[in-house]
Amino acid sequence: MNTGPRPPVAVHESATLHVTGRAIYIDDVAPRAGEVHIATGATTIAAGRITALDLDAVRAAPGVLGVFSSLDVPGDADVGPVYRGDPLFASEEVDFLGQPLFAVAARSWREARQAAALAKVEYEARTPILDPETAWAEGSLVLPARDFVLGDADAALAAAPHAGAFTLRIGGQEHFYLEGQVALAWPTEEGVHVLTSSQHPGDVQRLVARVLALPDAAVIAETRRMGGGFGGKESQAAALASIAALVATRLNRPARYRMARREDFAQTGKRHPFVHRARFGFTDDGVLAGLRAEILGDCGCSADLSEGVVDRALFHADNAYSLGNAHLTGVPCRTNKVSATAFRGFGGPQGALLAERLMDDIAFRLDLDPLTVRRRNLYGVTGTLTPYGQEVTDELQERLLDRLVTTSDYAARRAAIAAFNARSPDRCRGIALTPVKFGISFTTTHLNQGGALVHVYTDGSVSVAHGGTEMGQGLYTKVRRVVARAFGIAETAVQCAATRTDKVANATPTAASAGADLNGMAAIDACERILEGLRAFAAEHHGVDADALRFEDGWVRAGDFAMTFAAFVKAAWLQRVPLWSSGFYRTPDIHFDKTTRKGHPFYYYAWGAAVSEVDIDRATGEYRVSRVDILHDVGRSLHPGIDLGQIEGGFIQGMGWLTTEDLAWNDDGRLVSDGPASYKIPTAGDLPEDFRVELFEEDNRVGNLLGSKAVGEPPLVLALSVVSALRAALHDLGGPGHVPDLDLPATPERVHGALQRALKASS
Amino acid sequence: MRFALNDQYIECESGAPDRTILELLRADLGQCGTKEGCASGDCGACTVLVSSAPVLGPAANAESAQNAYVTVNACIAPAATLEGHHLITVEGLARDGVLHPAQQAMVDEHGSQCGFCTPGFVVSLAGLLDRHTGTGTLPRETILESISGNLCRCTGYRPIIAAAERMLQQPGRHALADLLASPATPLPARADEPDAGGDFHRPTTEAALQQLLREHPRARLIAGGTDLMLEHTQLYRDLGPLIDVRGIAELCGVSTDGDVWRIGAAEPLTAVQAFFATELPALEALLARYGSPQIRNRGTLGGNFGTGSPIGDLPPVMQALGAELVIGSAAGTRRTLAAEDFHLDYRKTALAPGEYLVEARAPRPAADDLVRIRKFSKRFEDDISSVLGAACVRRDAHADAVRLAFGGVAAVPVRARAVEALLNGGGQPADMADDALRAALAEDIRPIDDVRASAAYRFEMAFVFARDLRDALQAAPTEVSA
Repeated sequence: MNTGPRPPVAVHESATLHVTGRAIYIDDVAPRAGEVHIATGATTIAAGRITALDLDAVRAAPGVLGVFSSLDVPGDADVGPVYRGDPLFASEEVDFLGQPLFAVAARSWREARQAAALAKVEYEARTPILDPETAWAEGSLVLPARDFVLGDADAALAAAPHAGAFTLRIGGQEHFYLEGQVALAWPTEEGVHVLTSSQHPGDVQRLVARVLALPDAAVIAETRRMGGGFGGKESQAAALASIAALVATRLNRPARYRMARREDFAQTGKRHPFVHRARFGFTDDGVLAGLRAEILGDCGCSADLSEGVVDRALFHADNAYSLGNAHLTGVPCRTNKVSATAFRGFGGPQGALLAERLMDDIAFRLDLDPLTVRRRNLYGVTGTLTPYGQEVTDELQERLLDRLVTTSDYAARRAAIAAFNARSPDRCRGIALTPVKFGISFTTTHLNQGGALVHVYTDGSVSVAHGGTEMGQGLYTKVRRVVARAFGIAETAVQCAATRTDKVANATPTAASAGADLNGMAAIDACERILEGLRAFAAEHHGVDADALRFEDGWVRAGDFAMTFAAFVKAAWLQRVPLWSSGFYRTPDIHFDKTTRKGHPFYYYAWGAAVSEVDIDRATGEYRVSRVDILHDVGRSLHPGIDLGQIEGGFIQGMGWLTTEDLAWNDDGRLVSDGPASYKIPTAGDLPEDFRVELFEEDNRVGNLLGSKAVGEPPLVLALSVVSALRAALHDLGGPGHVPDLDLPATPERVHGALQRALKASS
Repeated sequence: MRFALNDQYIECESGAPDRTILELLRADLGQCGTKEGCASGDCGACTVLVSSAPVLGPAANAESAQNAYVTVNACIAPAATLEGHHLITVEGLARDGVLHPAQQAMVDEHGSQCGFCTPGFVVSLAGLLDRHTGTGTLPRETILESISGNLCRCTGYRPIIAAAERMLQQPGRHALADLLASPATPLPARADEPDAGGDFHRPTTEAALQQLLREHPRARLIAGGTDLMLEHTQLYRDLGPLIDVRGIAELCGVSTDGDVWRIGAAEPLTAVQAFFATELPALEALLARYGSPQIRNRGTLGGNFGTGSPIGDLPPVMQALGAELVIGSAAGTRRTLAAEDFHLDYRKTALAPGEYLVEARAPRPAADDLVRIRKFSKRFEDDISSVLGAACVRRDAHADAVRLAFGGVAAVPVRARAVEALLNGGGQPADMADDALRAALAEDIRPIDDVRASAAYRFEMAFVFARDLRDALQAAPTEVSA
């Protein structure tokens, strides 16, 4: 092996398995003898108290083998990932409509669901709180409010020559990973083995152990791949895994818990809705002078990961702009809805919407090109200090913007659109450029660590396991590439092993876009340790200069010395040289003080920018995103095909969030957009007809993994350009000084309302 | 039951009459390449291809190479409908270790990320290639339509479209029917005897249907099942005995019969869509946005009426065209009913027990008559209408020249008779000013707030539709003055 030409490797490590249907997801695992299926019974009110729970009919239903509630939990029944507040089953208080009350195990998936519906529950209902503004007014919070302060905002506001204010309401987002939440558990000699569709098997292990009162070491959690995650399987997988493990150990049978899509909608968390309330002042030139903003995060019923989400909204409320004097208050509001959770961007995109709204509002009020206002406020132009104390010293943003302005033909198109709008009676168009600055690193500093385990076998094949999980983002493919490069072997010679808690312990979640950085660096560390032994072996037994040893094309060479990698490692093994190693990485140079809210939380920033153009039907509010140009900073791309996929997919997912994906709860607190028939993610037809995406490739100046940058979340923020383009069109229609309000998502109905207001303003 | 699966013949139990193809594949046959994403026919992860003609049994198509394969959502299609047919799943596409062009192109173009939707896309693309083999290229709209019933949450679709383009350029023959050219298993014994089907009845004549209705008064009729089967997959109800009407010749077909269009109640909407491409492009354009290809390959006009839903897209169109519905019964009687008299109340229809829809008969508009249809929805493709407006203006009519109907604005699809009266009245333009039009419309419709739109927006969209119709009439007044 390793002698032929390098095979084409520009594909996802599982691509062939995906397209042939041979990739195995958890529900594809063949049932073991005696396996049971799980369903849960759920609350039908959003707030109140359970006064009676009669499960006799559930127990007596056909096929039922067991019914379990909080009383059956041997350990701690709270699966909150950071703070308490996420009970496995409601026992007294009801936090939201759809909250699990009990689990039923039955012979079949259908029987379990038919049985669960037979429970008789009585409640003492209260009026639920369903929006963050009411929650804030009534002091209903999951955690205390927090402030980021830079300079003197009040003084700056008082002194500024121009002032403005707005309230912006932003909707949540259902992840709609195509593979719904699922777990499969079976009892083992020590405890339990759980297959979990999770971005954080380490936490699944820890929480399952806590629920079952077992030591962590008695629980194995394993994730080979997820059918999509997007943050929705960071903390949310733990409840399913815990229930499956509970049933498996209580019944001493394998137990499978796969949620139906509607259960998944009702019972698992979504992106946080936010409300921004801002007052701001600015100069004649359109430079922001002062900002006072309340950033209300709708956290749902519990803290879950909301502290980090609301914090990240604050960290990104500046997006790419120096805020000058700013006082930002982040409020983690408690409402009687399913607990909101991580979703690609983790509050960052919601925060950045505040900054982009500001830029547009200043431009509209001064009748300037919004791009001009944006450029005047960019970090590096008016200031470099963020509200959290980190200096922005990157200098690529202006070059990146210059290039995109040119390649997108922004100026000429903007002029053409103005002319079109002036003469078109029934359509109006808008164009906007918005930048992205996204901070890379977990803002909870200790999470910034990665571990890997690399095995080289004596035939030259290699297996790599690490703490990161594969949800489609290509992490395994990138780590495989890194390992193959380290040993100079074909990527296909490297096997990606499933992520298991018994291979790499205490791994942090695959989140914050940091998967490749942390796990790739840890894999390099492991490879380096193995290579160190191999170099010493070569020097000792083959008399070659260890520093001159090169691993390339499946060969090991130094001067006249040449052996195939396979023969070389076999020879090393015979000399008792270790061919496997663990590896570890901790992100350097980051710190953040949670009391002063100052520090250097981000190792580096990922940048990008997008120009979007929209075309609106003035009578109905229906519109198309007709052209999008993107230039996105990925550092030195580890894998251009995968990075491009992350950028394109992130943009379209962000566009869906901001346009058609409309989560709706009724007054009782019931999610009424509870499936794909009423909740509309983008289809192929929503792809902009003209979609031009380019990588901005320059080495990451902090070094990082082979000069690369993280790419998972930042591109989602590119979609904010669609909102700004819509508002540009509405401003054009409304005339000079018109500042359109547009809550999100910008459904045709909301755009129609904004059109009516613009027409009224112009008349 | 007996059917062909990829390159094999299968003989197995079909199970309960409402058991789905997906349940059969995954649970009974261990074929887990086909995924469940929603179990409601909305995401396409479960897409499979089914031959339109049987390959087994007395009606087997001798020229199987001529068989057409259509995409179907396996999650809501009863397994029993496979009897005698050829089912193709993602597992069957690669032959002798060589990927199908759809698969290879998806690999080459990075068309998969998490991979969960991928089997559904691959199958939809394989169906596209089967219908257009050797064409090399297709218009972008044709490619988009072929995957409009498949949701992907990772890629943003661009690489999947690129994969489709690459696939179409692949030379060679990739006919799906060839999978059975050298089957891996022998033909099952008694292959030409039709299976009795248990509680899933497949009558082939109207007389047989009537007899079944008499013998099984509680049995429910099923055509595409794209709505009915949701009771099985979403509410976990057991549907009991089912009578499949799709094989009844009298209920099928779409044609012009003199001055009348005849649309069989059990004809798949894909065929109806194709028929109207030349006959009435406005209706073809609507049907292109009706559900998805997978839904239109199974869904029917009979089902769209029969569910009694106020948001079906075809009832307002049929009302505007002045169609009548032909209704048969277990007793063998027939009656006709104006389309607007079919819906009595929310989800309540004029069908009595034992009755069934045979066809819709719509007077064919003259070439210069005006037909307008407009669908309003949150998402352009594969979304349920918040409002559906349909209007037909007949130039040679002496009365009722304008017929206007709406879906989604009341408990039933409604004729907008007050607006019609206003537009038919032949008054001065001032009499038809916006305020008058709004007032008339307010008499006609009672929209509600729901997850798809507010009452106010629905009213406004209905108004926009009526106003555009008025403007069109005033631009060409001769069209109504005759």
